[in-house]
Amino acid sequence: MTEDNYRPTILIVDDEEMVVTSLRNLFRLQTDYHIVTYNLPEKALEDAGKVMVDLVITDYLMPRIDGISFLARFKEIQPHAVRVLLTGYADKENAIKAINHVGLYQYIEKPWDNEALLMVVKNGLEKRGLLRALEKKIAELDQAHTSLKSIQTELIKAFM
Amino acid sequence: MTQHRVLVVDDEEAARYSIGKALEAAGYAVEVASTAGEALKIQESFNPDVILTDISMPEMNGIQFIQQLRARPLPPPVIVVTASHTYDIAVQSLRQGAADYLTKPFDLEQLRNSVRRAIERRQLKLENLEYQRELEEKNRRLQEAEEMLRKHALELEERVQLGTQALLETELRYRELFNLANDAIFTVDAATGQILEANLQAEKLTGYSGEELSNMKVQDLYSKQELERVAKFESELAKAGCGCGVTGDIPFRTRDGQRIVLNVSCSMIEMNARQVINLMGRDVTAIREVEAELARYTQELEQKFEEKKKQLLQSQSQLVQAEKMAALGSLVAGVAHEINNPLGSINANNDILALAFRKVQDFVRLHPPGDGTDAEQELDEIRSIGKEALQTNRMACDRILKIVRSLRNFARLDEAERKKADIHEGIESTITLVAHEIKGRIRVTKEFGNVREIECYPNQLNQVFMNMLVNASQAIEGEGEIRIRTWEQDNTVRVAISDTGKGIPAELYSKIFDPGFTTKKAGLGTGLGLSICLRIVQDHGGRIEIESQVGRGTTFTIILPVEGAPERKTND
Ligand SMILES: Nc1ncnc2c1ncn2[C@@H]1O[C@H](COP(=O)(O)OP(=O)(O)OP(=O)(O)O)[C@@H](O)[C@H]1O
Ligand SMILES: [Mg+2]
Repeated sequence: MTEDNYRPTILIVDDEEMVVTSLRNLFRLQTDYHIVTYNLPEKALEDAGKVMVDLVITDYLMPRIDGISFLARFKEIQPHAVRVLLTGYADKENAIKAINHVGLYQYIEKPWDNEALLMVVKNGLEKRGLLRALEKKIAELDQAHTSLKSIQTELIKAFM
Repeated sequence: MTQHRVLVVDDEEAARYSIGKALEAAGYAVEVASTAGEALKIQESFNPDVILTDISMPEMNGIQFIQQLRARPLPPPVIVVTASHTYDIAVQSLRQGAADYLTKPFDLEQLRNSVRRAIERRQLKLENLEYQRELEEKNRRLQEAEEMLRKHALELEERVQLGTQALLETELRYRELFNLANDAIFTVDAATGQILEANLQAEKLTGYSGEELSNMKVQDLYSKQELERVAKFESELAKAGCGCGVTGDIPFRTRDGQRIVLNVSCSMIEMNARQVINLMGRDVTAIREVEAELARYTQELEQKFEEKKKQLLQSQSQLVQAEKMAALGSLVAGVAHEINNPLGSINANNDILALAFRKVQDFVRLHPPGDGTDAEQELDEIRSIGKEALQTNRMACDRILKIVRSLRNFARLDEAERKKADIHEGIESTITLVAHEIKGRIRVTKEFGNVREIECYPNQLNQVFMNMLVNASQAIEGEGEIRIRTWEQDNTVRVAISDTGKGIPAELYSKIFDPGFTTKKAGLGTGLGLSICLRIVQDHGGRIEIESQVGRGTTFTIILPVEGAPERKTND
């Protein structure tokens, strides 16, 4: 990680209260991530603009909006968030199809393995971190470029 | 006794009278005539048995009278009565045929005797005549018979002649046939087997000449390797006895050692007090070979057929297996889905609790009681996490328990036999199991009526409910409603499952029950669901009704007799 004090934000969406609670507590105990949870995907989408999310975990089978449509819509709002899908036994095929469609980082089968889940999330965040660092570098370069440009302008001005 | 009639002819009245009186007194019927002419007339009507006549009479004398009379048929005897005692007249009258003559005067005794004798004689003569006629009749008949006999004899002779000729012809024809026949014919002495006669074809088939055959026994011709077949045939022939034919295949050996099979017809007859076997054989070697080939081929075909049948049965059983899997697949998917969440939660919470426990231990080690305030806050958080984990686990366990109970209730593995059951229980369990299909998206309304328990196989009915509920939920795109109503009507319990799904066009009503018919994407449906439902419901003596409107929804009504199917084959 490039930033020492950065606290990543994780969004968890599952219509099952017990799943949300269990995941939240798992992360609370094992990590220092900032955890945001929702039971209703539409509510999560409503609030999507409010908090910057680094990684989103969503269930596949949910009433009204399934996990893939949810991720597709969330991607439009926060394209940089890493997307992870939780799938049931029968939804695996759909998940695989979705990998390219919504740019899925990884899918995790229910019932999930805690260690594996934590690892996937950690790796996802690392990728996100690298991207963030890259963005920052680019921004810095942009910045440098701009300042160089202004210096150049100054210089031209001075010599003219 | 009949009264004899006497006609008295005399030109003298006194004579007529006295004679008449005398004869009447003697018991005769008497008529009198005064002339011969009159007498001839009377004779015709009176038909006297005897006539007494005078000789000398006017007009016609007695002799003439007799002559006239004699011209008539069966003239009565005439006794001449004459006064003139002359030998001459007597002789003349007797010559003319008079029966007697009396010379006047005669006494009555003489008269009566003469009349009696004449009558007797006439009687005898008449009888004689009768006999003679009879004799003649017999003679005639005899002659007729003789004639007939002669004719018969003639005919017979003719026939014999014809017969002999026919016999000769038959013999000739028989010879001709005997030698022309396409079949080998042997005549064999039954006792020794000696060949008595053999036709041309027999010579041709066996390869032996007629001369050789006449010195052989029929058993010399049989194929030595297959004598038991011959023996069997011979015993059959013996059993059949004289006059009965026996048919069968007998292997022969030709002069040059070739094996030929003759289809033989045999019969035993008695000829000149010895038993002779007529044996007629047709060469069927080639036919039998073809037949054997055919039999082999048939057997091969049968074997192939059996194999195909086995394959078919196998694929059928695979289909049955597939049917079971279709029902099971849905069930497994449902159960797996439903168990995933609580199981995942319990798993997570186990780790959480273990971690929390370790953290508390660390905490206790690092911070003896009543230490810093900062740490208290951390401990509180751990405590709340642990509490939540325990609560969640309780919930998760409850959920799993409910699912497992439903599963058991659904499958009713312990009750695979027919029993009285409340269908509501089955419907409830099924709803739990298909919850993942329905979850949030579909509202399920139950309108359970007051229905009796029904005679059924509960696990099978649950399969029906599940297939229907899954179909209903799959027919609903997005949000919708499934309504389940139950009621009793006409001794049947009815379950109506209505959905607000896409509906079914009427022309598909019958098709959707065909095994394999599906409108769902590959991988989503096997198309077996409804066919299984229909079979189960029919096995229960019930039926399924459909009501649907495209774009609005569908209602399937399951109608089950309360007392179950009348009789059922054993469950496979
Ligand atoms: N409630 C319903 N509403 C609309 N269509 C239905 C309904 N139930 C059945 N069908 C139609 O009938 C077809 C046959 O149903 P069936 O249950 O036999 O097979 P399936 O559902 O396609 O496959 P499976 O049951 O193996 O998943 C379905 O494909 C669907 O087109
Ligand atoms: Mg179906």
